[in-house]
Amino acid sequence: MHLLAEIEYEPASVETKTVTDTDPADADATNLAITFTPTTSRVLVVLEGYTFAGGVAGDQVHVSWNLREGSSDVIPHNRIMRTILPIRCYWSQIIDVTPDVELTWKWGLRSSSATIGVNLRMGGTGSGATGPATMRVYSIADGTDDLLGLVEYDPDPAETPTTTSNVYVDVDATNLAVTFDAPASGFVIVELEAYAHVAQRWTLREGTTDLTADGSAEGMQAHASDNIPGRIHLRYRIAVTGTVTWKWGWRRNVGTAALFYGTDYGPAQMRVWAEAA
Amino acid sequence: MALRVLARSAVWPTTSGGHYANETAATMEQYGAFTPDTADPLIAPVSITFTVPNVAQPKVLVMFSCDMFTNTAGTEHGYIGLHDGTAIIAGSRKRMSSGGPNNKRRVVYSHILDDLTPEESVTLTLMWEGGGADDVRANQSDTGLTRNLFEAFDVSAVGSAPIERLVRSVRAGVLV
Repeated sequence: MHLLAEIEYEPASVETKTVTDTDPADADATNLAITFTPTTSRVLVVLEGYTFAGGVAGDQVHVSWNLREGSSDVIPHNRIMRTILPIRCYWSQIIDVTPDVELTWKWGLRSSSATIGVNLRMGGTGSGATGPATMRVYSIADGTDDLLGLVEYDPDPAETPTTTSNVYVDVDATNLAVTFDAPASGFVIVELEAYAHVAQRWTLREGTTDLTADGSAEGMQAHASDNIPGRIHLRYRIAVTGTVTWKWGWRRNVGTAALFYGTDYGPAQMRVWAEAA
Repeated sequence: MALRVLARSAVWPTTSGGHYANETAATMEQYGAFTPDTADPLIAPVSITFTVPNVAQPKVLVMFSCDMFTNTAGTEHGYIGLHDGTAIIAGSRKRMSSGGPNNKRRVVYSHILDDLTPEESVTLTLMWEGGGADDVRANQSDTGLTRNLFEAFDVSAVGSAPIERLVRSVRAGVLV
């Protein structure tokens, strides 16, 4: 995985980009547009920014992001979060491209309300500083020595599984399971990303066994969110041998934990990267 | 090319308590050198050391992820930045948030370093501060559930693209 292009837009004075539209619109066609020439047939795109909905708490407006090329959407919008309080959010997705053809992709912003805007904030100095809005594009090598496994489950209509289990169970043993061969190093980096609500923990499972990270016995859970629904990204380093099938496992922390994926929310994603030997 | 991990430190918090970081935003610049709060390991790991890749234009992706927690009625945000032993690295200070009072949320911080000298040894220290008068914490005490990850990845472009294009052309039966 190599970095093809990066934009970190951090103006000296705080800027807030606002879109009030249920169709994605450019957040900033000048400063939040990234140009790159892919060298392989897939790229990984990562967006990071400080984002929030307008209105008041009870309005429950969703902020969505996507990528745009000209006046078209490169991919459908993905819900990012739902709160009027700003959160630095992380969104990533693998996208098919044509090698050697230059592309310019713009950051798309979309509100779930036709009357209440959503916002992306960046820049500033001192105590009010927000930091940059970041767009990154990475190349993914063709073949199987880089990205070993990929699941992007994006059903239409969207699915919204819930759990009240206090022990790990499979989220969806059919659709959220990835099969791959161990790399020479014996270690992989696994990423999980999906829209989640209510405190929950994630793990990976092989059969009915919960895996551990780094080959240790310390487990590998991490929280999603207590109260604020939004896209969560987790990452693990796991020892592996042979050919394996790993499933996305979850349990609640308290209450009823929920996941959302598919149309309007964006895919649930499992990625397995080979660690270099 | 497989993902190259230059450094990785993971800590599984098991002790109770939280990391309080209620200094004002200006305080971080005034530290000069960051002194980790050794009495409270919850924010650890605070440092990683790696050797810069020996390529013409090295680029290193630094990531930190943890569960962030904001105290009740807190100011809902804090800052994370990177310190290289001399100063906070320009552009690395970024505002984070758990999304509101009394909410816990997984946050991901990342920053790419591209002003590096090949084969140089670099030690990065994580800076953490509250954004206001109230507490912003990492991994508040009720959990013991989460891993703090502080990582560095080699994301340099190493000129493999021409080879990949050649292989693709050969596969397609095209002479180059």
